[in-house]
Amino acid sequence: MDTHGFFLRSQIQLDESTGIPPEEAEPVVQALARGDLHAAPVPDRLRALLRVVETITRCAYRTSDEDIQVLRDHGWTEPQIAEMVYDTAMFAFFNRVADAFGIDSEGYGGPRPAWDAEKTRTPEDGGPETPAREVNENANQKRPSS
Amino acid sequence: MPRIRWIEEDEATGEAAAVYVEDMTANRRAFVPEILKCFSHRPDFLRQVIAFSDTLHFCDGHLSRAVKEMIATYVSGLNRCPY
Repeated sequence: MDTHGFFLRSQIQLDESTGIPPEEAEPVVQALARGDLHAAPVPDRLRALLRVVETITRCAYRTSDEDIQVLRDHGWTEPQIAEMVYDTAMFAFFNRVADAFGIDSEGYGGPRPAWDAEKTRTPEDGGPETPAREVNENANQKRPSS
Repeated sequence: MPRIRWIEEDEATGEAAAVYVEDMTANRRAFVPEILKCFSHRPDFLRQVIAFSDTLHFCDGHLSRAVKEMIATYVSGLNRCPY
């Protein structure tokens, strides 16, 4: 999260390929790093792509034909959609390895998101009963589970 | 410190040392990122992991590098992965 946010801030920049003006780059990076697409000021076409990134990340089996058709309707090509899937899946892999080994941010800038403190607290010292990620997942279910 | 030990730059020998030197040389830095050191017990696989991420992520492809970094940031945010 911090590493790639750092790359976005320092090396890559949100160039014209994203349709995001430079003054909105920082709010976009911060919102995405919090997992909050709703708060990220991104163009509709990119938002559609990131919605599917979210579905694949939270619950890949829920990805539907309609989800992919929405991307085509926004002008994303088949090779672009496929590459989004590869990149999304690759970061699921790296995130799991990083968390299992217990590596943390290397101090790349930006404020620490609230969940970073929460996940180390237990209900006894004021932490949530249910980890934030599970609450989010339940709140974002698109269909009832069967 | 990681909860699973990895091989540090100054203790690497053999294949692990060779991959570390290749990575530091290619990226002109004096350290190996922690995410790569996680793979140091399988230096043959580490070399493939580096190739895999360079080929897919750290370049413009069908998607631009910038869009791919947004995907990486968002996935890691959703997964609550601080790294």
